Amino acid sequence: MFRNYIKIAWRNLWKNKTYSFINIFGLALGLLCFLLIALYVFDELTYDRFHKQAKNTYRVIESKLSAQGKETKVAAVGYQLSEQALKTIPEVKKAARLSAVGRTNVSDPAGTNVFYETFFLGNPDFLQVFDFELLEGDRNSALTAPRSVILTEEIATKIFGVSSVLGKTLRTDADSLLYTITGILKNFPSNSHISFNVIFSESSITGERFTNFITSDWTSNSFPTYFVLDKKADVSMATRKLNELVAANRTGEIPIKSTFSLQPLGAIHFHSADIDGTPTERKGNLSYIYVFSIVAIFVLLIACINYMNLTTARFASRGKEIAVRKVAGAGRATLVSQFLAEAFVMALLSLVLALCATFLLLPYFNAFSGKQLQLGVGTDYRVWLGIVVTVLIVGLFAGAYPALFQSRQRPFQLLKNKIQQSKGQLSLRKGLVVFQFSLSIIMIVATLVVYLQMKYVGTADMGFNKEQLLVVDINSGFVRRGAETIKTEYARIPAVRSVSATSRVPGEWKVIPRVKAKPQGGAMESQDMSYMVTDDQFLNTFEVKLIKGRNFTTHPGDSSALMINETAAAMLGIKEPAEQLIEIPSVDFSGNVTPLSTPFVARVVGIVKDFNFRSLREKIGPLIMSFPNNPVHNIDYFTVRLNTTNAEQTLKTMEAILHKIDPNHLFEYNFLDKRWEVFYQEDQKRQAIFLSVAIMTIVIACLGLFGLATYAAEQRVKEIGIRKVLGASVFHLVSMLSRDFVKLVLIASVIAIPVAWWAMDNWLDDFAYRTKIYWWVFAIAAIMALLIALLTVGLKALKAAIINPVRSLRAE
Amino acid sequence: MLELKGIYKWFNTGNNRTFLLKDVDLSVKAGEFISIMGPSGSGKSTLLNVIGMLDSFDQGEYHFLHESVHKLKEKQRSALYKQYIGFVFQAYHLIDELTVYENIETPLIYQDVKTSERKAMVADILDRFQIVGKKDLFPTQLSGGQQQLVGIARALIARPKLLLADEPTGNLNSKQGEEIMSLFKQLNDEGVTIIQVTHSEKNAGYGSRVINLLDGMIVNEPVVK
Repeated sequence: MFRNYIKIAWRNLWKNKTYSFINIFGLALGLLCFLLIALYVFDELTYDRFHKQAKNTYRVIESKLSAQGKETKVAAVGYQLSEQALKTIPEVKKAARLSAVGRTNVSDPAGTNVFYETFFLGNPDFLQVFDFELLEGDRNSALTAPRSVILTEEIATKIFGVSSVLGKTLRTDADSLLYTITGILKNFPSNSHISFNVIFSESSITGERFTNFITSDWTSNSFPTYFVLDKKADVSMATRKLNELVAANRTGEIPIKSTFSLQPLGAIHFHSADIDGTPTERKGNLSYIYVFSIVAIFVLLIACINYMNLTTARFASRGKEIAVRKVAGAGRATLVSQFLAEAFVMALLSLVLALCATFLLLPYFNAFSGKQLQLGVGTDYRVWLGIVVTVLIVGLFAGAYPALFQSRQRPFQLLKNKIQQSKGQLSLRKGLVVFQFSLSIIMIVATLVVYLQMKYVGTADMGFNKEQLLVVDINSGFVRRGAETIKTEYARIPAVRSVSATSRVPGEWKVIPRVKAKPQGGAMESQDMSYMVTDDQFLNTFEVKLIKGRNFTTHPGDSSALMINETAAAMLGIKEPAEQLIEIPSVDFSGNVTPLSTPFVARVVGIVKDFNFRSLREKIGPLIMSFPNNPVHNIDYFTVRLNTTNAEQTLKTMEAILHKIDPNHLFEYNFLDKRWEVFYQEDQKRQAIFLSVAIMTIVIACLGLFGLATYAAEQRVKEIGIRKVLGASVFHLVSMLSRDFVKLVLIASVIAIPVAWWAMDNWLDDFAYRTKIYWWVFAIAAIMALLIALLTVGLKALKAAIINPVRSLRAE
Repeated sequence: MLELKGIYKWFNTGNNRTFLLKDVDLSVKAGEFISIMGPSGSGKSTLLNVIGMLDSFDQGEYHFLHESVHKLKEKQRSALYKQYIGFVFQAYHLIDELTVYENIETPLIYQDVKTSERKAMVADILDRFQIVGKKDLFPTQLSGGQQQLVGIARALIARPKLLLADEPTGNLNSKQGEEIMSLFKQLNDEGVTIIQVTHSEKNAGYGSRVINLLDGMIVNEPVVK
């Protein structure tokens, strides 16, 4: 019996190959989309939750309120805070510290494989608070002894060729002694906000300066700190005690008001947008998770509904088969199980197809999303459950209509082969089509707008020329002191047009420091401005325009000269640069306003045209540019304007020149235009996501439309026949059949356009410099949707219209 | 008016060729009222469809008012029947979604007749068939006889030269059937050429000539009564 069902199911599938393919393909597409997004969303939502004590683990956040009322939050605090909290606050059970103190070369003792790594320090409790898996070593003691180091599997393999290197030694250029490897960490899961390659024991740093610093450190923001609280602890109570503890121990005049709070570990990924965190942290955006989840559910829902629609549409034409089976003595139960079996076979085929596609696409999806998603036994059971339940429900509903409704009909009625459809069902289907096309149009608009903005960002006049600029990092004092020599040598290279040494570059990937500045002696309040050290070659190299006054000269007397941009000039009330004295009392590198020992006073010699030194998301702010030897900041980069696209040879020459000054210096360089692209990487990804979702929704919407058109054509087959006999042309019939659908798409446009406009206007608001939303974006989206719909319906209508009317009328 | 010469129509099943029409010769003069008779499956409807140009044939010649139909393209054929031929069906084949008025009007729309002219023509025929009061009703609100009346009105609206009827009374009771047949007689008297397919000797009696079909062949052609 069961074999018979499968056989019939298979034959039916085979008989309507195109239709079966479209149907199965549609559902598979929906399932695929759902699977990928579900894996992604689950990964994001389970960020940092794999630690056993995750529920009781908190990160300490310091919120600082400046005198101007500006609040900054930092996820790093003073050393003593964790030390003393552990001793005096009973709720705090364990405390982990993780701090980054510069970078260093690490290698095997022979120095064969050298890697430039961030120098992370961890306290002994670090591995007690977090349970990152230790492949080798003892987690209780690995970070206790001085000169201990833990490597990840990955870096260990890179340095030593194998990962089992417990007990071996590691060389660094931080000091001459070797470090003992006390542990090997399994590579970090992608959904951990903490990740590093090498971590040294905190006790390794024994210098007097450091020891003195930490024994009295209540104010710095050097140590990211994590607490494990007692299971029954009241978090607000612990927070209060923590604030009291700091208040009691901070001495001296504190210029800003600080409060401390505890951020749950699980909340770090999504709720840290305004917090200055560890540099390895990838901050999540909850609203995108919402958007993706909604899209995934919609796409799956629509795919399922379409699948059921199409399936029932096909079953409807099998009334005759059901009638014959009934006349031959089939009971209702037999018929019900036959149709259910058939529907399940189809749904299962879709699932298999979707799973295969997911496996095939996952590597690409991972590369694109920067995740390590996997579909397998390890996948969260909820993802599997969701998929299985979905397929069961889809199969059940698709089979239920013919199984329950048609099998109840009298054979005579079924033999008449008329599709039993009420008007209500048809309008529900129409509603679905409108909904699907609205979604498609919104996605098309979104894709277009993101594309336009990316194009705008790529071609906007930023006030300087970012092409052909090569930025070389200055990583040592030798190089910094030898800067003039290096500049002269670089300038001699034929492919180099000009060289400039600066502290930061436009499009900076590190923080551009901010200073307070005001005209000296004036009553004006000091203002926050960005601060960049530039030399006499800056304007020439970056192609920035000087509007008034003069450029820096090579004369050392210019060390007290300043150039400012137009915005800064307006804020300082300077119309003509005339050696006005500007006082800079303090600098702020990352949320910490540090007063200078004596205020830096300098005179304004030039005003430059505003240029975008930050991403186009931000407005051009006031900028002060000062000469290299100043008391605020050092030079950090050489920027070279090349007049060749073949940089390889030039790069080698440049590296050689650098190594003449400092043989151990790591030659790090970036092409500036590539760095600017990094600013918009997430947006590029978004564009790709929007595009794929747009295609997905369009395909699925077309399937829905195809289903509806099939229905309509089959229902009106008699009418079409009559009209043809009465002299209607094929064109007339096709336009008659298509007209209704065009109407649906137009309604969808009317709904979609305001929604899309609102959503994309909101998105563009993130950018200080943004493209307009042109009216034709909507026109293109609507016309595209219309054309696609017409094509889908038109094909079906054409098929219906060219049938010989004799055939369709004979069936009566 | 029309002439069929050696018309064959067949379909192939495997190696066998089954003939629907076999060597049919038929010539119809303007003003005739012909009844095609024969048992089920003898090819009556097929012959009617061939005459109506709704169906193709595989061999033979068909001349209709100086046009060689077998040489015409689909488009020209449809233009030809649109202009000269009206159809009446056993199952009426009215469009359920349209009112009586709109049903009758439809062929005129396809012949690009102007709105004002259409109005006059439809009003005319409604008047003549005495169904003015029913013009805003939908087909499902009418009796079978009334529906067939509308069907005939629709077939005649474009003033065809030839009326083809496939068992026009097949779904009607005898009284309704008689009414329809006398209407046909009347139309024929007014000059419309009619070819009908019928099972009933009595209905055939209304016509001027009977053609008997058996297995796709004309078996005899009785002389005019």
